[in-house]
Amino acid sequence: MIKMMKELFTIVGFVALLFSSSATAQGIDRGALLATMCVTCHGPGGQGSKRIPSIDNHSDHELAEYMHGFKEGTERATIMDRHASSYSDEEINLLAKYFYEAKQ
Amino acid sequence: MRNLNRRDFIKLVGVSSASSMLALPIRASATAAYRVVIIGGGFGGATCANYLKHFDPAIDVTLVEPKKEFVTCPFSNTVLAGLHDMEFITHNYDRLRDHNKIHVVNDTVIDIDATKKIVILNNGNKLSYDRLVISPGIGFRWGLIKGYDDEASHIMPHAWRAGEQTILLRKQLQAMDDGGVVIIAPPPEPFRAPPAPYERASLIAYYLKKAKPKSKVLIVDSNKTFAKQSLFEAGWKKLYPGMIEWVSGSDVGRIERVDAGSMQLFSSSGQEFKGAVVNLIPPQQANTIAVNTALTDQDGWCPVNQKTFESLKQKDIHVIGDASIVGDMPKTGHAANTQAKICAANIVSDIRGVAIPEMVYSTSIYSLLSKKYAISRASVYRLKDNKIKAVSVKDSPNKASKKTRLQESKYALGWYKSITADAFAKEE
Ligand SMILES: Cc1cc2nc3c(=O)[nH]c(=O)nc-3n(C[C@H](O)[C@H](O)[C@H](O)COP(=O)(O)OP(=O)(O)OC[C@H]3O[C@@H](n4cnc5c(N)ncnc54)[C@H](O)[C@@H]3O)c2cc1C
Repeated sequence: MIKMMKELFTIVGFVALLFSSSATAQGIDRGALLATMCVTCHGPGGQGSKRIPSIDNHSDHELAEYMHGFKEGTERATIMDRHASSYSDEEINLLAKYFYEAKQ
Repeated sequence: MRNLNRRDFIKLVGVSSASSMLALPIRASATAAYRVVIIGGGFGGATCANYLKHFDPAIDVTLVEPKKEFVTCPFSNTVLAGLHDMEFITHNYDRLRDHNKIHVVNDTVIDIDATKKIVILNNGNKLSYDRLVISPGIGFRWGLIKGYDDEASHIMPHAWRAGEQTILLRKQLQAMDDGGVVIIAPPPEPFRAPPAPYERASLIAYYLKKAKPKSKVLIVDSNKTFAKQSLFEAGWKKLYPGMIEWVSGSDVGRIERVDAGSMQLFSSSGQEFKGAVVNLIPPQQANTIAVNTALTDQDGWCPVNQKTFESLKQKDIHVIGDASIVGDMPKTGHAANTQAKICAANIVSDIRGVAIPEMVYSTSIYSLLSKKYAISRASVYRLKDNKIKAVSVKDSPNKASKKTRLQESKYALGWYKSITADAFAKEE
């Protein structure tokens, strides 16, 4: 009985948690929203499009490193330097995290 | 009670498994049967339909578009050049309907009743909405150039809405004798796709250089400057020396009158221009449905709240794409795509009563000067004081290797494949 009650509480707690977390989860994640801009060129999910490189196959660390490199001008680019320079470091990290996690 | 285990408990609360509990769409219950109707299945409308479904599959989305197939203006200049055929720039709505579960209604909206919240279709049917998004593109201000009307546009095509007009202009170029002058006459800003007349001049020259090398392209402009001007001019010098001439709006003024019979244009500065082929791009405004439903201002464009794209004239109606006035954003397909996504995110957030995160808007506008030579403008925008402001507008470098221009021409193609996949839900 005690075991059962314990189980019940766990489940009730779990349900409560689900409800409360999905209440906040109702808002659109900023990384996901920012990423909608990238896929216009980089293809659905960032898979790449013709010669436009894919961005869904890097670790979050790697993708962020590229973007920071474009921003600082240390990484060679054709167009991404011109975009990256107007994104904050925080935004770059959010994007890298989003594409990495979306692939997992 | 003794046998009540976890499984039973779940049964009691009406959920059959933990995993379906996770999937239990709480948000869906708040939005179920919420109806969004979208007018126009172009770059703005189709993208908005997809992203509403992407952010919340429970929303009931109806897309109204008269055409069964959409022909894109982007890359239509490559059709004029003979680089691609019409099929390449034609897209259908099959996957939007079958895969993304969007109701596609093949008709024209002829009226909107904003009080009853219904749209009226040409066939008499009515669709009710909770929220209306309109992305109807451009209409032409026929009255502004004397002698230029729908009929004259079959002699002097505008080809500024792709389809029949694109085919007509291509045929005229093919039929022209070598040594002819092709006139392109862009209207005063604001108009759809500011760099596109100059891309068109380049790609027509590309065709002429091969097929009719004694011919010329004359741009009779109503503007004093144009987008990516130094890059275009340097490219023309290199690729088509002596073939493209640009006459500035400071000389021309604007085109006041045409004579389609004699293929002549008459400018406000008193000059006359005669072409073997004349591509006259008329002054523009928001498309008819927006004008007729009083969503436009005195200049013929739709003022909107630039955060949400909700019309400043009507509640619960959002206007996106070329028809709307969106701060520093020029009227491009990429801008329409961007606005569509943010509009969708705003609608979904609004239904749920949550705030939308701070946004950064990015667009890349490519222009092809030849098959293997392209330039681009990368723009980034942010919302400041409820206006969309450009924080950076950066063009391709003036000095660049052949390889860089070639790379950009490949990116242009990748952009086209990708943005049309985004809008028409195509598998790449
Ligand atoms: C030659 C040329 C080249 C271009 N190149 C580029 C480029 O390289 N990159 C770029 O970003 N942009 C480019 N553009 C611009 C781009 O085509 C437009 O900015 C874009 O199409 C705008 O999208 P929209 O949704 O506002 O309008 P549209 O894409 O025109 O869609 C509007 C749709 O609404 C429908 N509609 C209208 N009225 C009604 C009604 N009453 N009921 C139902 N449906 C209706 C129409 O049938 C149409 O399908 C180019 C334009 C031209 C002319």
